Amino acid sequence: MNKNLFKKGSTRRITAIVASAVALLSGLTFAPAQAAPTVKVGVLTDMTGAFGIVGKSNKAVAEFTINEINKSGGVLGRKLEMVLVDSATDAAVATRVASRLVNQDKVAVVVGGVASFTRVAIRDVIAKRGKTIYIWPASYEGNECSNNVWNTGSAPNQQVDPTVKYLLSQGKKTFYLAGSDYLYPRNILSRVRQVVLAGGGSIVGEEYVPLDMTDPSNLVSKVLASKADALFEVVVLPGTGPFIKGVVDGGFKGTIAGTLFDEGINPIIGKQAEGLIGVQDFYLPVTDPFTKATVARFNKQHPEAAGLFSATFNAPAWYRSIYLWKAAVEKAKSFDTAKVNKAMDSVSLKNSIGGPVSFAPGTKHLNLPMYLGKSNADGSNTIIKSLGKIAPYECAKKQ
Amino acid sequence: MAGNDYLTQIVTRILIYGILVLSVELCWGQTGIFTFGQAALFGLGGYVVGLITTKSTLTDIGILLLIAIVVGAVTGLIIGIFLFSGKRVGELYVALVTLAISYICERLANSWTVLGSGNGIPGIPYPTIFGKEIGSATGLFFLAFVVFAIALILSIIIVNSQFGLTMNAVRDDEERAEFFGYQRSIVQIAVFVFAAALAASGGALFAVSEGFVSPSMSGLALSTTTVLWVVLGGRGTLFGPLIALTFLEAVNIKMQEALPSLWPILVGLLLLITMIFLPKGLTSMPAKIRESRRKTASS
Repeated sequence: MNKNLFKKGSTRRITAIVASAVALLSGLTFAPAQAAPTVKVGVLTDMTGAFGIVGKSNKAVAEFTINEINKSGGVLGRKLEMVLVDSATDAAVATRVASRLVNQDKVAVVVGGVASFTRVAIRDVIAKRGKTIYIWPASYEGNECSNNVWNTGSAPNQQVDPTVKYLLSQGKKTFYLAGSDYLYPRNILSRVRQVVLAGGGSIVGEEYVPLDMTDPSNLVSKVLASKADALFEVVVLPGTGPFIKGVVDGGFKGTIAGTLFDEGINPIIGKQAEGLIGVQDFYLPVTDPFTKATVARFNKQHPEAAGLFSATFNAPAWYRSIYLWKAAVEKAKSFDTAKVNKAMDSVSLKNSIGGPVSFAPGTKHLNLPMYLGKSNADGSNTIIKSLGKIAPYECAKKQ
Repeated sequence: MAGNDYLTQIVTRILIYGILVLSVELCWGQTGIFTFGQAALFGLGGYVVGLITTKSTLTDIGILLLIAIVVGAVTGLIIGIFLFSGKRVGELYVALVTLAISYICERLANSWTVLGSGNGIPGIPYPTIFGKEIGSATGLFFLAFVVFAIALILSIIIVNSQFGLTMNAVRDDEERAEFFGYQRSIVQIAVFVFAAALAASGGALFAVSEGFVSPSMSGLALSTTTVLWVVLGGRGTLFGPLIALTFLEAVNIKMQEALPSLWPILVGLLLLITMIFLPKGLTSMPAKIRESRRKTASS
């Protein structure tokens, strides 16, 4: 074959093809320059792939928030422009589009990521190599303390501690821990273990299943055999539904608790969601006037994402992320990364979904108002108790 | 090019995938080893570099590449001996075993906490050369370019050598090659080891230039994609697959934005159409057109 390679005709052919490929590539970069003095906000989420449904919610919330800010005059007198990129539930795609946001679009800030693997992949591209503010708007496993990175979702202690303390106060003494086998469930459940043991309870079993597990019968029988008072579960989709159905239908007598139950996930579980316990930064029945009015406005303006405004889809965190960044820019009176980064450490929002929030200085995480909730058979939630602001135990204040 | 880091990074990534494509082309296109496991070796190189650079202070790219190449070659040797040292096995058998290896590697990377589980290994520092940091997109581009050029030149030399002819003989008819007295298994193992070293060095470059490694870089999706590049570009040509890679990556970036949900289906269709109408790949299209013109002219 390769004798062919050096023939005159084929060389010409190759040159032509290479030339057109180069032309195609350069076409990517010579987009017309924007003359208007807008400030670009990078919005990175999974519009396709396994987390596409979350991306749909994230995009709508980002659009909603940016429109709202623009209507009230923008940031430092400049309008915001949303640059949306699809990370396709794939770390390699995520780094490429993150680089596009930072190096080509020159965004002032990037908000985004659904799964932790996306966060760790793009973090350095944006915050370290790209020297741009990166806001991670998701409740997650903790320990994200990188420079220029700010966490606006809940930290493990903010969800786990009150959930476990509530269960202990209800007389639950023996706990079974079950999760999918990756970083998030392992870190969450290790926090659960710590709080259970500190509160005088005991762990009667701990089990991890593969991420894509869909047949939970083995795990279900172990849980039933343990006769635990409480099951703390972090089995993620697609296993959540089958697992909880199996445990409930198998006649489990204890209480089931977890970090991922709310209006977004419960419909997938079905009527067996009744009685699930959890703590979130927001449930639909949160009744403060600001939250009610904002969510109503969102549903009206974004019918395509109706029903997707939920804590597990990170909707409240996306909303406050952009406002917190705005507050930091206004405090710093500049869009400069170093100045905004410094200002971030102590900004707060009087009005936010679920209640006022503020960064706990030195922790890179928020003091968040949290709610203890119980799921109903129809997927809705009842708030058992409003827990007020809970401080994050992260970074400088790890405990 | 220095003006746009994003474009530079895309070209760098294409060069790195280019090394991986060369490794598939040498195996499958030139020697008939239908491998679906090159991404596993690519991932191996990446994870080796990821572990070393995050657990120690070693960042010298020369040493890192050398370690990745040795680890890749040794792994390639073990797999190669297992696959080829005994009786002749079919192309399909090789495909299935390498596919399984890729699958196992992805699962392993996904669940083993030492390897960061699903999160992979982030925070891989910039590489250094003679103590100086390669800390810019342009620097990483030149690094990838040099390694790619070496890989390409070596591949051209091998393919055009006497040994290359033997490789083709084994590809075209294993049995006949054996009858002629060629050591079929030695040829196959040697090619597999070289290709494994190539793939691992590509993975090492990917790790330092992207700053992270993740389970998907050793997985089925990338393995299949590389085979797709070779199919589209034309099996048996060194440049065809490289062109297909450049083309598809460039189009990919545009299309993922324009038609995110339709695009994968279109790629699948393109693959089907190519395999049916242009089994030698898209780069054989001009020749095919000329041929059909000649036919119409003479008739």
